[in-house]
Amino acid sequence: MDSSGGGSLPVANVACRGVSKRFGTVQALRGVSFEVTGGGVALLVGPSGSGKTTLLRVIAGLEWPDAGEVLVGGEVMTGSNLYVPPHKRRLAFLFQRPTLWPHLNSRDNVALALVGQGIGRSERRRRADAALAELGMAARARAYPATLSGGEMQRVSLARALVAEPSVLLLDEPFAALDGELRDDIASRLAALNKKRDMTIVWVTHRGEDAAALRGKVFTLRAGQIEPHEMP
Amino acid sequence: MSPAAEWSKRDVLSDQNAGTCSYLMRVGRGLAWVAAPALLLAALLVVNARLNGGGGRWIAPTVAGAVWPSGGRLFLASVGLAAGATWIAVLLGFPFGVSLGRRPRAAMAALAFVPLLIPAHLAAYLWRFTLQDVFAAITGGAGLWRTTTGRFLGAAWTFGAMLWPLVALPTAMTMFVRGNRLEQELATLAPPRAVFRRAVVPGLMPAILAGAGAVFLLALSNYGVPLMWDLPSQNVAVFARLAAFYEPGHALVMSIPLLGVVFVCCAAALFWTLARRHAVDIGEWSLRSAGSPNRTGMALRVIAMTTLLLTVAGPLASLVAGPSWLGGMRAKFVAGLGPFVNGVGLAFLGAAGSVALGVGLARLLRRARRVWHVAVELIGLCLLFMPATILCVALSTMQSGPTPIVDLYRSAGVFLVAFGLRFFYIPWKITSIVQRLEGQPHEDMMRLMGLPWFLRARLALGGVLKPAVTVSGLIVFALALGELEIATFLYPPGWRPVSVFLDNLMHYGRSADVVQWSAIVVLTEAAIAWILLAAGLSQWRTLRAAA
Amino acid sequence: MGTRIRRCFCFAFLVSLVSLPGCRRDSPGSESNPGEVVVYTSVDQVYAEEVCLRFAEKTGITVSPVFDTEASKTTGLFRRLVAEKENPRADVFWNGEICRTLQLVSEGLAADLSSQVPKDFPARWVDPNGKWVAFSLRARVIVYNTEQVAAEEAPRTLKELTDEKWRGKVAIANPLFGTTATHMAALRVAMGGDEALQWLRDLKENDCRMVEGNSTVRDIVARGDMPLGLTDTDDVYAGIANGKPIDFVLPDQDGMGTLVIPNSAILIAGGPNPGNARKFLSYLLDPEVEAYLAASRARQLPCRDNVERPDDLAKFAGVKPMDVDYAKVAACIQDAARDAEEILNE
Repeated sequence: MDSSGGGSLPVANVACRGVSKRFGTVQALRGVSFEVTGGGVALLVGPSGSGKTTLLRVIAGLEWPDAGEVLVGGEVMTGSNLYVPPHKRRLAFLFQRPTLWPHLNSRDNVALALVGQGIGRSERRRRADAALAELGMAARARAYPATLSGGEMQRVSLARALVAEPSVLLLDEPFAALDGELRDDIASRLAALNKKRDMTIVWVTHRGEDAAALRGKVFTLRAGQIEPHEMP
Repeated sequence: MSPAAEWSKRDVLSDQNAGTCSYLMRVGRGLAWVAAPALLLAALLVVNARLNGGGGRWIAPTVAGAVWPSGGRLFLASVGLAAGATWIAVLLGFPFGVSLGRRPRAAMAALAFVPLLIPAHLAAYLWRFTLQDVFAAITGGAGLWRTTTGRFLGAAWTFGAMLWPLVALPTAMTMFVRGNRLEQELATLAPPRAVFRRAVVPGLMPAILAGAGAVFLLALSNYGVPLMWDLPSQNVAVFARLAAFYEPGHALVMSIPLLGVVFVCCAAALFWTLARRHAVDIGEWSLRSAGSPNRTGMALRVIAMTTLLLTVAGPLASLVAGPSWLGGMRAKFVAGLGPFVNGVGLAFLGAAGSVALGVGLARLLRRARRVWHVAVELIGLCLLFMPATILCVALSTMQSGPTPIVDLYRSAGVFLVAFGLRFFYIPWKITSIVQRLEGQPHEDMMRLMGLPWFLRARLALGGVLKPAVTVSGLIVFALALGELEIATFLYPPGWRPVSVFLDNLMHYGRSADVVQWSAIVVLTEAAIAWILLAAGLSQWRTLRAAA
Repeated sequence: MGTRIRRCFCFAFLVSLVSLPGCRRDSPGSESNPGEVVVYTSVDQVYAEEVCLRFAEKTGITVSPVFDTEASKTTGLFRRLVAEKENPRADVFWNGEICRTLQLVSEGLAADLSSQVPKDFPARWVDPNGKWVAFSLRARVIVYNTEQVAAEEAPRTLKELTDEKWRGKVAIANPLFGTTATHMAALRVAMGGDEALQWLRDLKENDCRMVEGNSTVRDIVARGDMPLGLTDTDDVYAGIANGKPIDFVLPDQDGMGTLVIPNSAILIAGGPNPGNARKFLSYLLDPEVEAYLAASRARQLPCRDNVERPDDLAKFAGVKPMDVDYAKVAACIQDAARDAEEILNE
């Protein structure tokens, strides 16, 4: 983690080309193509069931598309004969509900994200503390998820997402369960982080007003297909 | 669409439309109520006329004779007994389940576990003396329970009194989870009884049928109850064929009809579950309002309390009314402590083996195709409901023959395997459900982080799956503590467990030793029931808070 | 590759952990555990346990008993010993009767035990070939409910059980197992096959009821469900000690005599602990054990006259035993038991 601030990682763009995905008889995605430039923000909006989460999962590598390609940083991550595992794509995912392990405290939850990188325990803890401090959670580093509020849990999740210094951050309606003030607070932090680190953000939301905090390209999904337009 | 919009006053009161029940299903349901006691009656008539209370024909010169000892009379006796037991369990369990579902009370739910966890042969022993005492008091000594008919009814009652929570608890859970929104919306359209009968009961049918099916199969494959009641039974014949004659092949052949019934019922239950369109939406955490007090509700509560009192206090009364077990208690306790400790050790092995296999399978197959899940479900259900003697056939004969490549004699391995196969379905099912409901985001997160497999397993087991592992382990522990057949066949010399110890003592009649150790076993099982409920409630509150 | 090796190692470790205790067998004939003796016994567990406990206290040797089940009794243990013949697990077989013991001897499962038998032991109860020894006697008796049947009315012979006055009033244990099987075979030897079978048919015609075991016969009679039954003296004495209204008659005292069934014991050839097995067998033949079994609720009659016994054994002590060759009884027990079960189950 670069605690001195300023983006020190390569900036990665994210692109999908003709991605299709079917679940049984349901066609979740139909030839979806879009691109967001490195360091930019893409907002995926649309009604429930339009395929937003599926698209995000395909980008992350959690789902294998029936057709199409996914590129991150100009490299093909998912193609017809190619599949790069999720942990090698240098991206982070924030789910709708906080996915903290109930038996680990905040710091250990955050430090987990660094295990796969071969970093020693003490260094993992140091970086985890720094990530929590950046999001105003330093005082709650030893607290367990059962004692955290919804907003606090989501901030810990965000710290875990950022501690591994991803080049892309994928957000799946992370503020759906939070009230207005908390939402605004975390959204503004995200905006600041985007500027500071030049991190590409792809953010799924079904609420148009959530997009106000972050200016970027808005893609509307309907029935598995995308309709791009610019924010005014 | 609002549930009320799906109904009209005409529909609620009409004979032509009953929600998910078609006319044929209603007829079938009515027949089922009659069929069960009819089967029991048929079995009684046949058995009374021909078998004279003794065992079946042991000698089987032909395969047909082996499969159908006594020309099928033993099998009919077993089926009739199981049918009667199911009928009684549904009669007792349904009102309790509805009452508990309307007004959940933790104490009632906890006490409902107690009859379920008392070992079957112990329950039969206790009920036999309780019923004999009661009828002796009423009839002045003459005994309905001394005739074959009386013993049949007594055994059916024992099963029903033991297994009714299998009907009650799923019913209560279904009612609680679905809430009473539908009833409230329809309250303006029709009287409460009509609404309940036409709208609520159809939704409870899956739970009732599942519970009834489980009761039927458990009663069919049970060994301890017909033995204690001195009744003919195909399963007792299978046990004796292995235990007395050491003829595993003959025992296997004799168990074919029982295995056939178990397989057909389990397969039918699975098929029906997969084919169902209207699964209970457990995402709706709607609270049930208490509603205004009414006579039906009060009547249900009275019936529920009576059921609880009768089936929990009934067998325990035998303990109190029996020979005094306080005299010389210390010496008796010391004498029986060894088997009790052995039993606890065995139960622990059982829990470990079944949790290892069940949770391991659930983890391995979490992303597998559905056909694998269905296969494991079917195998697990069959192993859970089949006669336990059959499981012991291979393991016990392996211990008797020439030294095998891996000698499991006097090792923990044989019990890990036996109990693992017998009970793995319970941890498998609970873990699979929790994994499906709660575990997917965590699994995704671990894939994103690229964690190694052993760390993933540790995180899953120590985190989201921990309550499932704990609860299922406790359930299997309680079941293994009272398990008789596997213990009888496989216990190594000098390691006799408490279930075998008690079984041997029981055949000496009503003695203080048995009463004392029965009390200890029952209290242990009751303590486990309380722990289970506490764990379940705690997890329930956590899920409600997170939802 | 490192992960795979680690996985293989973990798997192998787990397999060895669960099977390791079973793999500790030494070569045949040596003692795998110097402090243990494995005893298979069909004697009622309350009595057998006490004897094992006393032996353990006296010698420090751990006794690992295996008891029978009520559903299978001696037959189950007998079959298990035969099944384990190639790989004996037991050291001593202590039987509550004698026929199955003699069958095991004829199967070649018994080792020589003559050096363990005391010099003053009655020769009648010792195998001339030194393979088996018997002690502590029971008898097959007619048990009756004293509230329903007066002492003078109780039948005195087995034949009387087939009288019309006792129609539907007699209980008998399953003749496939235990001492009832022995009794059927003894009757075949003593009365002749045809007469014995005719008696069984007459009994069946008289609506006798077949139940699970001897203790069940006793309980049924004690409850008053049936006024009469055929069972063993130890079951009756145990019921009397529990205050049940029952008593017994030694049948055929003026005729062929009452079948007396001794406890018996053999050393299992090739057992895992031969030294300790001999010590255990010597202890079984100690007068202390016979005295204990006589004084216990089982009230088993010592075969030696000089062993102390309680007063209420006097009725039993004066028994005229059935004069029968136990070897012949053992030879025909399977057929006799099978025939009896077929007749009673028709």
